[in-house]
Amino acid sequence: MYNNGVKGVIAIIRLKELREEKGWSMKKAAQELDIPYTTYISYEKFDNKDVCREPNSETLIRIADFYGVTVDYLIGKSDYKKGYYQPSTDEELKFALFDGANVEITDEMYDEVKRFAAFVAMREQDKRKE
Amino acid sequence: MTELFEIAEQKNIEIFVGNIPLTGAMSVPGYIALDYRMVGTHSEERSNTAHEMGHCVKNAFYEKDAPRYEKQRCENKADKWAIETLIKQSDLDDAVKLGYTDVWELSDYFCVTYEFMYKALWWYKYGNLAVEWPQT
Repeated sequence: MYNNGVKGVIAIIRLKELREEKGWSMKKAAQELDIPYTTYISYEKFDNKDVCREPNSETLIRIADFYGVTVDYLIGKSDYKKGYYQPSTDEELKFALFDGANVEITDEMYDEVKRFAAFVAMREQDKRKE
Repeated sequence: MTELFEIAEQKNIEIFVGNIPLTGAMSVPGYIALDYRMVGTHSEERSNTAHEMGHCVKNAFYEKDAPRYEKQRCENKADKWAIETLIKQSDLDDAVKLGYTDVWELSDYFCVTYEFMYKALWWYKYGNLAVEWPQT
């Protein structure tokens, strides 16, 4: 199972991570998402069988839309926030260079990688528009 | 190259040949870029494309500041996939039976680079890719 939650319960495993990216407390996140505080806690504690609760599909979609990510990303089925490869930070940009272990990656080379990644992201967007 | 292109299509991997003079060849998830100078000969084209496809198929990617061992692990995964895709053990055995015993002969026979063939022989002989290159 990809989401490591309690068996049989769809877990929003990225909920805490997304909240922390905003620098919010659980209470603040619950307010912003318009979810009762105790319900919100039950979503974040997805690995605790005593308190976890499964969100319904409407809630899943609402949370995904709110954070600008896909439902797949929320529940850990995809590692890409937008559902496809679109790195927005250096930490998210994963790549491989020819003989990469023996090459010192200069800033100029890394710029070349970033240009290709940007091209790829645009191509992915175009594919989805088709 | 046909078999590689077929695999690329099955795996939804796009291959671009363009101008990336500083890196020569690179891959990101689902995409490969090769510079013109990397595809000078048919054997280079096959070897390098297979290697980059190995990164995509095995999802063997790293971040810029990843430690060297992590990058090497990804390179080895890509190499293993490329070797086992282009040169099957049984095909290698058949080639040797036909009398192709020199690395150069075998690389010509399988249409791969000398370095690729040497790695393949090392992999099948020793089961690792800690290749000790011959002194030149």
